[in-house]
Amino acid sequence: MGKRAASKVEQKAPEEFLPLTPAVFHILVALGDGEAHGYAIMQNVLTRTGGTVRLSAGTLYGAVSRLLEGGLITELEERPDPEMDDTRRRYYRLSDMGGRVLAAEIHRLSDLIRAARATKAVQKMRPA
Amino acid sequence: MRGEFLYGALLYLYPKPFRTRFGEEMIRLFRECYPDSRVGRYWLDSLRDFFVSAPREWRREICRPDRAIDYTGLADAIMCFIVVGTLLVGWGMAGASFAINIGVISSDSIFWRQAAASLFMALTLFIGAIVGVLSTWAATRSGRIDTTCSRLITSGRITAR
Repeated sequence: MGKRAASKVEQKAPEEFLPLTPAVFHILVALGDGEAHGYAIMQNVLTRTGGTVRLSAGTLYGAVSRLLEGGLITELEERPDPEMDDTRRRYYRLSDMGGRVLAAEIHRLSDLIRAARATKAVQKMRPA
Repeated sequence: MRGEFLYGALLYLYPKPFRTRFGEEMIRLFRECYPDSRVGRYWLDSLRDFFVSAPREWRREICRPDRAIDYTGLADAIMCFIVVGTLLVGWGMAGASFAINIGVISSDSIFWRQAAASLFMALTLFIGAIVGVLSTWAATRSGRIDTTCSRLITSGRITAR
């Protein structure tokens, strides 16, 4: 991405990216722990969701493509540990903007959960 | 691995820029996740993912604001469509006439003769339309290569000679 495009992305407020799709949200959360390649992201999401969310290649890389374009993640030029890993792998890292968008989405979801919990129906179902 | 080869072939149905950028990684991911058992289920999931993600990538590619249209190529494609379409219609009419004369359609009823002729015509028009749409689409995308290359050069991903 060129400098002009990058500065355009920086000008956008994190809220403009919301709401995130489930795949994008899971990828951002997975990258929240540090840089990772595609397979590691997929495994992270699978473990984190208890095996309920499996990102297939098309969905994963489609979302990665959109995130790269939006400047929410960046591709690492260097490998974290070239001796331990295949150098042909591409690693991705959460950008500052990506972190802000993730935080905004978590805040939005928290508000939704809080509102849902405040409804009578949910309060009735609460264990005593 | 044969599965990997088939999946690689399937990736050709994604837009070229997407395939060029992520194709290798997608094949790698497919290989790494390939199970020892329940292969059918894995393929079913992969195909389902393909049928959802490929149209989405095409839509993104077509709606891209920096999309370039090669108008010369577009004119060529339209000309090609007219020529191919005319030939196909002629071929269809000949085919319909031949089918009726050799008795493929045995009934003497005028209704069946007309139905057979209409079917051949519709079929050839349909094929002609597909050829036309594909060639027109291919031509409108042909200017895209330069755009992608220039963007990669400006971003420093590849070096201009």
